[in-house]
Amino acid sequence: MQKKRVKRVICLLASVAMLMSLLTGCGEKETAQTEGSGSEPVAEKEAAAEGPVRLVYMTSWEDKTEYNEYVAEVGKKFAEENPDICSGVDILPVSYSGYEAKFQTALASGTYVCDIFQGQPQTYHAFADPMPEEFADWVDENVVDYLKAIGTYDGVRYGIPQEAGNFQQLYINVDMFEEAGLDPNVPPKTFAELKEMAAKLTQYNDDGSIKVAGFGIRYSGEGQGIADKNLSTIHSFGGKMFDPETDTASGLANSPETIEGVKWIKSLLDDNITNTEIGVPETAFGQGTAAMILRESWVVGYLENNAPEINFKVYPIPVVEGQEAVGAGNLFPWAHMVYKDSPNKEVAWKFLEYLYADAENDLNMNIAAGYLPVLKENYDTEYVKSRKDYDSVMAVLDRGYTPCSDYYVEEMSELSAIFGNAILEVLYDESTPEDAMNYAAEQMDIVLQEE
Amino acid sequence: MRQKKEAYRKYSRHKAKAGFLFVLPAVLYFLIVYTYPFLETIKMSFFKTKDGVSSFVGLKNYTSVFADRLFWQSGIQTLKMTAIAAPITVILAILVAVLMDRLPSRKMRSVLQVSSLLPMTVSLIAASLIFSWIFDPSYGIANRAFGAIGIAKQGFLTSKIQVIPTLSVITIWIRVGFGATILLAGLQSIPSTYYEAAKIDGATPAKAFFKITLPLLNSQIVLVTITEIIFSTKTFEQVYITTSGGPVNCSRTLLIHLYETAFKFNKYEEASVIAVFLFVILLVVSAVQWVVLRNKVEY
Repeated sequence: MQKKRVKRVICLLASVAMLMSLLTGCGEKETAQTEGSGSEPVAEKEAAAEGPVRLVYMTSWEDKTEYNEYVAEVGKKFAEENPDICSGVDILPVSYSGYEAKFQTALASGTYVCDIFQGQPQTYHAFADPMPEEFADWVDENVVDYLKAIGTYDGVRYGIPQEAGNFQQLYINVDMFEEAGLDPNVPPKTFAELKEMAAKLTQYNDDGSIKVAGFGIRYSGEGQGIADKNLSTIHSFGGKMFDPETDTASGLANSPETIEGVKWIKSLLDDNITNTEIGVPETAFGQGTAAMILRESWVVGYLENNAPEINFKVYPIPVVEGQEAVGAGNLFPWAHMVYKDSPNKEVAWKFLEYLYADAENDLNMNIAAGYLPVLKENYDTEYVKSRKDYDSVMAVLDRGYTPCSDYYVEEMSELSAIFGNAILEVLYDESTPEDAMNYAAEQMDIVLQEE
Repeated sequence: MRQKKEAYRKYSRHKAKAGFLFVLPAVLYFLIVYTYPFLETIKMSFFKTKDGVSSFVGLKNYTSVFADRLFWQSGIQTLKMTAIAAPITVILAILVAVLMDRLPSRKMRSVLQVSSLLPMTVSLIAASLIFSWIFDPSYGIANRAFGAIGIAKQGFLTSKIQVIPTLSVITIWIRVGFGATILLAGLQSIPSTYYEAAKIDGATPAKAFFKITLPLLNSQIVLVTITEIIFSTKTFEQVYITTSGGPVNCSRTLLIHLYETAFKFNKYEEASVIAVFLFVILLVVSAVQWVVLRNKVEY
């Protein structure tokens, strides 16, 4: 009898414990990583109003640990100088792979998930606080010209651009150039020359398969990435993705110029100058299985760290005769933004102003990540001038206009995915360039004109 | 007598109350984590949200999804993957279970059981990352092994034709152990007297397998088949990590399409439609299997 009673009590306690954990789990608070220590609970929304707050910075650049640590360090200094309002900055890193789902669900919850987050305004403007006017004017005056559109949506500035150099440049393998009898100091100036040189640089196995591609193309991954990496080529041919002013893609995504650009990319496969097996361009280039690639500025740091034996040079993206040279820009306009549901918006903006007021912070953060800084005054520094892509970057910045900033609309992800998928269909012989781009234009029009 | 009846009724009520309290946490969990999101998803599929305002749009989201070529392409890829992974998993699970059952040594049986179950303890993400390296066309050990025996280099995950079978390998590797464990339990519940009787009657081991083992394992086979079909239909991690639906959407499954629709294109309503569609398909397939394939066998 006693045993039965004990059993009943134990079972009841176990049920209560399960119920308690269920209820506790429903009301669980988010935790953030504190630099140098374990996780600690994030401040309650109600308590944040009084006393110094600990800001939370949510980022999908999980792998940029040095960059994130630097931001936390500056957070410490900000806290020391402003002990009444801030006790520091915690970094909340989110894996880049699948970050969209986490960011969307976290930010859409309306609960206190972070104070500052890294994102693209055209996607996250609904969750972002508009930047104070004074700071917005300062940003417009002090960031590199081509970055002005980044951080804005529909005429409102929500964030400050996080990185520069996010445009395609031509990387060449110097040793392979010399082996092929080409002068690495004389890069291809036009796309026609690029293809000719790529043909000379391609190396083959005994069975005729490609050992080293003359030019590595982006053929894998999601549609938006495919569009982004191939758009510079298409823009060089005079093509365009869509026009947000008129809500049309027809006549642009399937224009003769766009189709010609797509055909040029496809011709590299048809002429056995490249293939769809060598891997993503930067990896192939770093492994010595691609002699030339088009990639952004961050690859300079990537190659120096991961493939120091690769002797490379960087040049501006070639041009197409008769077409305007393409300037800087891409489809991933990363910016630091403040979460609109943060109870510490004022402090968060103050911290961002503090972070960028000292140009050295912008410089050091981007040195840590291997990127180019966003503030104009940092382009006279030793770090920038000594970079392998300095001359190329300055040449591209001089070119000015790029269509990319026109694409920063809410539906950009879907539109570029449709566009990128069409390019893939051409590359994999699923469709002709005309059919693929016509279908893409049709689908993009539906998205653009949807109410 | 009346007092006894009264006492019994009281005891039954008390027992029922206790039973209810014990299942309450699980019921609450199921309601909150499964039922509520499910009902919300169905509701969302009939609404459209613009600038924070939701409005009822009837079947507009459904027509939009069903008019998308990519949706049907994803459905076909999902069907292909299920058609390859599910039957092979079931067949291999039966073979592994029979092997475990017939092994004379208990130690060998334990080793085989643990090694077949171990893949299930590995996260799908980790397994997918490892397999993406194994199947890398340039550096993977699969092509190295093929090369050593004179087989030409294969594209695997970069090949439009091979990508689905290659992804199925990951699914099969992860799932065989689960199915084998369920089937082993079923095998061990079959009385040995049936096999003895069959032996006396001159039945060969193969005949005994097809005439005794398989029919008596029918319920477990149907259960494993249903679970494998559901698992294969919900393929996401393997594809997301290895190919992201490529090359050129040849491995784009319905769940990849759902994920992209929801979290990359912010079209939650259309993603809800895809979820509802998946649910209905799986419900119908499971019901048909349960009704048609399940045979109660008695000897």
